[in-house]
Amino acid sequence: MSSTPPNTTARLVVRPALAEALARAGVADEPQAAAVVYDPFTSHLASWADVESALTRAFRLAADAKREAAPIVFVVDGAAVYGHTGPLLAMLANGLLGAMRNQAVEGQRKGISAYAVTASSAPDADLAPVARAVAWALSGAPSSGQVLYGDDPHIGRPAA
Amino acid sequence: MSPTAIVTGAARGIGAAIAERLMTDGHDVLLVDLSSAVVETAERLAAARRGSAWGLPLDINDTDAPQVIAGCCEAGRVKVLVNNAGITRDAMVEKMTEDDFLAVLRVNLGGAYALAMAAIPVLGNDSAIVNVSSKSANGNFGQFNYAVSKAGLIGLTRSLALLLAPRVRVNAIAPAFTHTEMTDAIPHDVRAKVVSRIPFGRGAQPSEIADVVAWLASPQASYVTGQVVAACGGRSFG
Repeated sequence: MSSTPPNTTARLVVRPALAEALARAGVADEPQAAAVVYDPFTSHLASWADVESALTRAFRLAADAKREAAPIVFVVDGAAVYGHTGPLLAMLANGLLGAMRNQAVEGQRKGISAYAVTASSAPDADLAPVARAVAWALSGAPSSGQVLYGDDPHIGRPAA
Repeated sequence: MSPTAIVTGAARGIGAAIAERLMTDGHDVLLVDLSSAVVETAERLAAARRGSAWGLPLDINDTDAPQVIAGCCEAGRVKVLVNNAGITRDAMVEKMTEDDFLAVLRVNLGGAYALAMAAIPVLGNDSAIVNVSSKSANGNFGQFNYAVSKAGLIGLTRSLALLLAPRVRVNAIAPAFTHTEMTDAIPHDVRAKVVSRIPFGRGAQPSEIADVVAWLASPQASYVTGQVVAACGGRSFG
C-alpha cells in the first residue's frame, strides 16, 4: 500500500475515532463526495432489529453508491467475521461482506469498486491501519471485492 | 411421538428432498413451510418412508413462529434442525426496493436466527444445525439482498458453532444452481448461461444437496462444526 496519503474525500458514515484516523490518512469527510465509507461502529447489538437496521443502512448506501458510480468501503468487525462475538455481530459482519462482494460483482463492468476492511470495535482500538487500508481502497486500487485486514485477529483465534 | 428433525422451506424443492433424505436416515421429521402444500408433502413422505412426518404451514417471519415450531418438539429429542426457508426478490441494487431487501433479509436470515435460538432447548446432545446458505453469498448479479442474507447465515453458523460446542454442531452448505420449481422458472437462455459456468456442466439435483445436508447432520460429521461446504459442481473455483 502507498504510504502517501491520497488526499481524497468520502462520505464518512463512521465512528468519530475512525473519522479522525481517516483524516490523518488523507481521507476527508465530504457529505457530497463520490465515495462512501460505512462503519456500523458498534460492539454491541441488542436484538435482530439492530442487525436489520445496520444492514438496511448498508443497502441504502450501496444503492446510492451504485447510482453515482461511486466506490464504497465497508468496515467490519474482524472478530465478528469469525463468529467470535456472538450471533448478532457475526450476522452483521458477514452480511456486510456479502454486501461488499455483491457490490463488486455488480459494479465490475462499470469500474465501481467495493472493499471491506476489518477493524476492532473495541473503544481503544488502533484505527490507523484501518484508515490506511480504507485510503488505499479509495485510491483506485485494482482488486475490488477483497477483504483488507486492518486488525489482526485473522491470524489464529483471538483471546475471548 | 415427537420430531427428531425440523426442516424449514420443506414443501418442495431442496427442503422436501432434505426431509425425505433425513427420513431415510431414520428421522421423524417436522416439515415447515409458508405453503399449505407442506401438509401434502409430509403425508406423501410418511406414506413412502418408514417413520413419521408432520407438515406445519407457517410463516417463519411470524413473531411467534419459532416458539410454535419448538413447541411441537420434546425437549432434548431433536437431533437435526435445517434452516432452509428462503426467498428471492432479484433486482440490481440501485433498482431494488427497500421492501424487497427487507423481505429477503427477514426470511432468509432473521427467520433462521430466530428459529435457531428458539430451538436450542429442544436440541439434544450430539445434535446438529445445518443452515442452507448459497454460493451467492459471494455476490451475484441482481442479488444484493440474497447475498447479504446468505453471507449473514455464514456468520450465524460460525457464531452458533462456537456458542453451542460441543453439544450441538452447526454447519452450512452453499449450493450453486440447483434444479427446483423456482429455478425452472428462469428463462432457458439464462439457465443455460448459468449452467455453462459450472465445471460439471449441469445444475445440482435437490437430492444431491440433501445428501450433503444429511452427512453434515449425521454422526459421520461428528468433528465438523462451523464450516461451510460448497456443493457447487466446482463453480466456486471454476
